[in-house]
Amino acid sequence: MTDKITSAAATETVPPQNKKTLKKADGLSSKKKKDYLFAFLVLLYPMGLWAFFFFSTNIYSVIMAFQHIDYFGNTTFAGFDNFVEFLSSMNSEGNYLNYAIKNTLLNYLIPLFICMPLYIFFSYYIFKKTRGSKFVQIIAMVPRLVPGMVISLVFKRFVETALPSIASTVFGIENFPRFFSDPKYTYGTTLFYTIWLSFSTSLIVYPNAMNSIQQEIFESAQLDGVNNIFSELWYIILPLIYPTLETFLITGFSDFINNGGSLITFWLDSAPIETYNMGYYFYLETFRVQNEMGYPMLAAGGLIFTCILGPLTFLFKYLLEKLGPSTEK
Amino acid sequence: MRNLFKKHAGPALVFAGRTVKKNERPEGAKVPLKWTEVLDRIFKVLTMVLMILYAISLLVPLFWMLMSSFKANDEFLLYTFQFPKKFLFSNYGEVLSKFEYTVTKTGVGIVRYGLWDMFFYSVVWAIFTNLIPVFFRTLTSYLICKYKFPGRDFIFGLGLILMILPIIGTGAAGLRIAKAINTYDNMLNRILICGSGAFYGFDFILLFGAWKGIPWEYAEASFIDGGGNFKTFLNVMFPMILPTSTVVFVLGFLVTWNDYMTFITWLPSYANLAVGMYMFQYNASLYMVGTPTILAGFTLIAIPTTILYLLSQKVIMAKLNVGGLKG
Repeated sequence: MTDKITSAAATETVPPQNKKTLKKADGLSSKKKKDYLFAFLVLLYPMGLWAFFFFSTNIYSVIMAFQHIDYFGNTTFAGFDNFVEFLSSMNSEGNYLNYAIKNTLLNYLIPLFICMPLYIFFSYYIFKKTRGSKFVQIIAMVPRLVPGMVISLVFKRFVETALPSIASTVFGIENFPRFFSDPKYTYGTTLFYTIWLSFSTSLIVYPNAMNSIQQEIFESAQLDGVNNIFSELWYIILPLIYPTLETFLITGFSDFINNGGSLITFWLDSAPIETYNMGYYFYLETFRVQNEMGYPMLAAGGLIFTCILGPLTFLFKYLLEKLGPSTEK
Repeated sequence: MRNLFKKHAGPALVFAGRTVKKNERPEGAKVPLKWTEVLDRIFKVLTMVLMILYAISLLVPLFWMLMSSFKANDEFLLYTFQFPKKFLFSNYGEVLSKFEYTVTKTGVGIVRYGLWDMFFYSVVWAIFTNLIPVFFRTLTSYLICKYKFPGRDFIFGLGLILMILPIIGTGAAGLRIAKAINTYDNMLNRILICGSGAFYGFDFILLFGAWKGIPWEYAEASFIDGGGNFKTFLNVMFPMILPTSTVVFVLGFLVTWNDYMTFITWLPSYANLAVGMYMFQYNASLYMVGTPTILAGFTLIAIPTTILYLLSQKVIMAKLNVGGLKG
């Protein structure tokens, strides 16, 4: 933060006549006043809108968690009834929220442990401009340029129709697994899909982060004995791209919690319960069911999860900063 | 070649019958590989194979989509994965003629969207929901990066917290508020509020990082020449950040062109091409169309974004660089 050049520096270089004005001004210099006015005007629209929508939505959601809404939309104070109802519904038989919680965590953790090393290794070879890597980098952008909906639905149709056909004609397998309808496979299929597509952005962002490392660092490290892939990655690249990794790890967690992901595209309202995640659960209950009487319980549930996951996320961020490599020493 | 070297007692090697000192290699002789180098090479080959397999796996379903879109329905059912015997363009004609989306709008009744209506909404939605936020994100990131003013650190910190904090289950409250203030199912109002929260998010971090790399001296020179804050931003600084802002705009455009979720959740009586195609394939049996026709439709709506991406691919690759979550 301290290394930033600010307009305060600019006041030192203003022409003499302006310096005169600065001396005359009481309290704030005219340049500073203009800067503050500029800041105010720039922030007015985005901050004003954000403050209105963020506060009104979140505060209303908290209030709603303590309300009952009847059939006619009238509200009464409910105390902690909605919280009790939400928690007891989690234990009731056939409740799919448990699937949603478990799957959400798995959706974050499995790609994290499986994909993160691959992101790094793939990015390393793209960074090193290994033969064929440019082609891979361009192809990896395909999921971003073809509509996500198209990719999801083509994937679904490909798995449902083309794969069984290939299995039958090439390998003679007649009872090919029905990945999108057999409960044994549905969750695994959606997880695979998430992992499969997750490379797209990573293969651009991480190589770019690696490209910003100065060549001199590699050269001097080579003199110090850093002369193979693993030592170069461990001692040079990972510490220097760590801020980028950290950004994706932390913000990715928040995204996963609220993202219904591909379930909506694959099944709209009728995803198999084995595949549910929290984003999909809340989407379904809020936007598809649109039963206003059930909203307070959802708000209470959301508040419970926010109170648990919010501090956990900050703890995660703290640990990443504390335990991760530092380049400032 | 490696067997030309024989381990010799002491610090010397025997090369082609001649004894040479350890650090003295005869010209043209290859240096023996260390085990770490062998490991490096094996690892490199394995990773490259994985990368190429991954790239192929991305292309195969799309290639299959393209090939199948030229098949007759019977041929598709019988030979799902083969090349089309004859390239039929009739599926494209069929999708263009049958593609429509019908919704019921409160107070209006049944609204039928044709191809060009949906195209119009796609263009309007993709341009305005990006142009406004990108402009404000560019401006706020410039302000927070380059200016010192009361509350600056607070706003920056707040933005970081908002990026990190998972707030769950506020959709119900948001929906009720949106209905109360007429931002639910009203495209104009939703466009007007899309600049909200321009001080945080992935794009903000990207632009903030780009501003950090642009020297302040250019602005100082403009101030000396009598330029004000807005003039300096628009005439001097903005042109320098324009490539990064363009990348943010293009990436956002690709997302919003393909956005069907916002239409399903917040704008249920409007239709862009993405939501239209989604519902079209969902109700394919109603329109009496087969999978090849649906795949032809998918191919058609992917064309504009593919062209846009190909045109801006180089600048995207170069400018997409995200730093850390610290100022």
